[in-house]
Amino acid sequence: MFQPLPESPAQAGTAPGRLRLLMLLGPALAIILLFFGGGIFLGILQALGYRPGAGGGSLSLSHFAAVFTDPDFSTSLLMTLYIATVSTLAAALCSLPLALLLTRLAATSSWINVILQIPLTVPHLVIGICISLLLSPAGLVSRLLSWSGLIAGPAAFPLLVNDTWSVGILLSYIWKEIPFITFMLVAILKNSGQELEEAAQTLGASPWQRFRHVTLPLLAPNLRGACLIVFAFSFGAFELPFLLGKTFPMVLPVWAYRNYSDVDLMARPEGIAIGLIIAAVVICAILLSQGLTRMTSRQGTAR
Amino acid sequence: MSGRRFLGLAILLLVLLPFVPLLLWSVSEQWFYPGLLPQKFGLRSWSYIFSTASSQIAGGLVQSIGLSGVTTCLSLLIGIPAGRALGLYSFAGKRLIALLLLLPVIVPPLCVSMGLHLWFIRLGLAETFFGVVLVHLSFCLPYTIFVLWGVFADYNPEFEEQARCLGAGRLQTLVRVTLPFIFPGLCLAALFSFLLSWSQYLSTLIIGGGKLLTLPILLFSLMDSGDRPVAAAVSLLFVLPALLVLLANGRLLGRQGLSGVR
Amino acid sequence: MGILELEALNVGYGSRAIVRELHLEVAQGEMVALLGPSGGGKTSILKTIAGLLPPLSGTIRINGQMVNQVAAEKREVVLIFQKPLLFPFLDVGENIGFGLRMQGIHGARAAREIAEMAELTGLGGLERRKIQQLSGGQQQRVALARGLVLRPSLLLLDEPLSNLDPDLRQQMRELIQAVCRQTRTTTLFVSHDQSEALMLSDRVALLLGGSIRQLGTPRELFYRPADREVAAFFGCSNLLEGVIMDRHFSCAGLPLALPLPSTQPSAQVEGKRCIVAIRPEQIELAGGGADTLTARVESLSFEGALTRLEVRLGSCRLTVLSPHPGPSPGSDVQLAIPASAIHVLPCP
Repeated sequence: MFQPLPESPAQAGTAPGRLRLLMLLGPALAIILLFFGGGIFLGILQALGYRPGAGGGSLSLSHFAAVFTDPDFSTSLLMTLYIATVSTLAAALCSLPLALLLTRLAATSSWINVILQIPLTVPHLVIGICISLLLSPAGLVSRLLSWSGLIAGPAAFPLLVNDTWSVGILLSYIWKEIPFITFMLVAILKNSGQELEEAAQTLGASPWQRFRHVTLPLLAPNLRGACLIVFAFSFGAFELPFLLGKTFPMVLPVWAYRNYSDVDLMARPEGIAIGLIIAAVVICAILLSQGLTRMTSRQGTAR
Repeated sequence: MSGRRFLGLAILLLVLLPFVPLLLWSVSEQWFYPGLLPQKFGLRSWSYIFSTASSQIAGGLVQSIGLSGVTTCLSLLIGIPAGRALGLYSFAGKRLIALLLLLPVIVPPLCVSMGLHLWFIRLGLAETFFGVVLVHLSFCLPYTIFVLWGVFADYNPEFEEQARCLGAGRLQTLVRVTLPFIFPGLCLAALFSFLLSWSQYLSTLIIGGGKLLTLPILLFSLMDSGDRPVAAAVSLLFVLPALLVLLANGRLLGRQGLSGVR
Repeated sequence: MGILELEALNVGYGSRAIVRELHLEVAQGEMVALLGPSGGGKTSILKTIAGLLPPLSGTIRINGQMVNQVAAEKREVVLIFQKPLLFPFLDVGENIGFGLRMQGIHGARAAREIAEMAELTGLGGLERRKIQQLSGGQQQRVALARGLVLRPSLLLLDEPLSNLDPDLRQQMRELIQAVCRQTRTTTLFVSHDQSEALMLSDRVALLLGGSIRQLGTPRELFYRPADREVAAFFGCSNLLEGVIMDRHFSCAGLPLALPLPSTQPSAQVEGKRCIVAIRPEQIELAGGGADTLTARVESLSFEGALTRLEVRLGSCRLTVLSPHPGPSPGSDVQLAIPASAIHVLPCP
């Protein structure tokens, strides 16, 4: 997922000296290793019970065990998985036809592109506030329905914010992520989609066959990459569930922060442990996806 | 209606719909259920922002702009050489290095911030501007590198050699040749980094410890206080800079636009 | 003393030499071609001379000064790449003036020199054009003007004509020749195309297998190749091995001994086993007579101005390029091989 572009043919194969490479990559590697790697490493140490201020202490898995045996853990995990998976899938399902339509109808229309880019610039926090003002029981939609006589009052309006099915959270994510996935797909379609489809057409492929056997495989790597990034983000994000979610079950990031910021400092390692579990789930999802891709591609070549 | 215009209108409607209540609330002084429009329009919330709480809001704006600006400058400064190495050269261990540099894209900042917090307290970096910059850098830099990798993969370094042959020194080559070539990509990378840092809440809260009052932190506390008109107005203020940059850069960035920004 | 002197120059990347022990001297105002097959390290030689690639060993002198340690921008050498590499964010005039600007030359003086060079390269009046509005030939001319405006001691051209359409090549060739002569610019260029090298240059250095195999005027290389590989490179496929006796060449397959040209000094070759090269277009189809040889046509292909015949003569096979559309395969023809067509390759 990290290599979307081929190397420039002019330079592929040239190897600069080690010293030069170190000069170019060194600062970036140092920052990432120190602050990202360091953060993860120290997080693991603290989650294992190491307390820098309090004379160390022995390492154990007790904090992880406490999290895993918590009766609310599985509901929390399922809730987080539900939100991340459903919002990612729904956004991908909307993006696919939108990308196709965009390349066909409006690839050159700059105003449509600018409009579609607006959600990319809007922070999650703000769209959360917007959705809450729109969909809460006293929100604008409810007012509209009440004004037109369809419902009697706020109590009759279905709960869409702080609700069991997290509709508000899902809608916010979908609104925010559709442009992201769409642009990832349009980038591919604009370069080669049209010509390849035409080639397939002259070879006798029907519209459905062209989509299934030409366009979809062409888009698959970017679609997968975009979905993974979106999934990873929504699985580990705090703002929207905090703003629009129910108090129970809490999604994992909110739970992690609640523990971390608890007045009882003993809850802190547990919070960090939950944070690490989030990271682990995300990394597992990516490994799983890559494994699946490799398997299906191997099957493809074997056939 | 042509398909293209229909598509455009549908997109316009769906994108702008969520902003309607935000705009209405920000200019309302009284809006009881089930009124479709506020019973009383007024600029109370805006005058609150610009006079009563102006120092706080302005402080948040300055804090946010400073934080995102410094983070962006640093991530460009460090990201350009790294993007160049990844885009132009092939070398042993490249895949591993790339994976390492881009891993923070998928690992939530939450874990990193919580892990770093204690260490930063001991280093005296917690609750400081620079400490928050460093945390933001840990996830802004990978995005910058990702964009610039793509930029340099399309870049022909022979232009630099040609310039050297025509008598340009190293600095002249950088300023007159390399930078103009990568400028659009550079803007895109800067925008990525800026927006990411701009909308960051939790990592700023953890490392900043509530001392660094950026706009998102102010906004969260406003939401808690329940003053909807003011929260709506601050929300608009919060979206505005990024929106302005988007419109200003529309031409600069060309068709590629912001595609890829999260 | 030449403008450029290369001594025992080894060129390559890392520790791997692509070109070894290069010796070459280019005199003031001279135009020298480095000719060789693609991928032979010719571009790397130019980059090394220009200072973009450090030499592995050996010395480079420009105007008598050793420049091994001098940075590319400080050498009075301009390399013009195969692609025009025009800066897209500058217009035509700004591209031509790029080097002047780097030297801090602005204003009227720069404008005058740019206009002068644009005029000379046939770009007059196009100075405010955008690069994207130019044709391929015009872009190549801007690249040439951009280099020449700096009045370099030495101009290096990398395959100057290879990116152009056939009709543009002729124009560009004449332009390069005229402009370089007019500005008295010393030029070294590389090419994989023999006709380009033969037409443009005063001298040609043929680079085969990483070293210069022969250095001389175009005619020398073409008509008097130093060895069979040089001969083969220039399309001389008729290489016969035999003995020289009494100023005549005889070979096992040939029914008739061939007289050597009077220019051939006989002392070194007399009585030795030798290889002679006969250019295919110098063999004539004759009506018959005492000195002619009868050969059987095995195949022929019409190539436009000339027709290529593959003929069998005794046990030898020869290639003949003839202006006559020619006989049909299987028929017999009479060949005349004039003494001037015979070139004895230096004996090993």
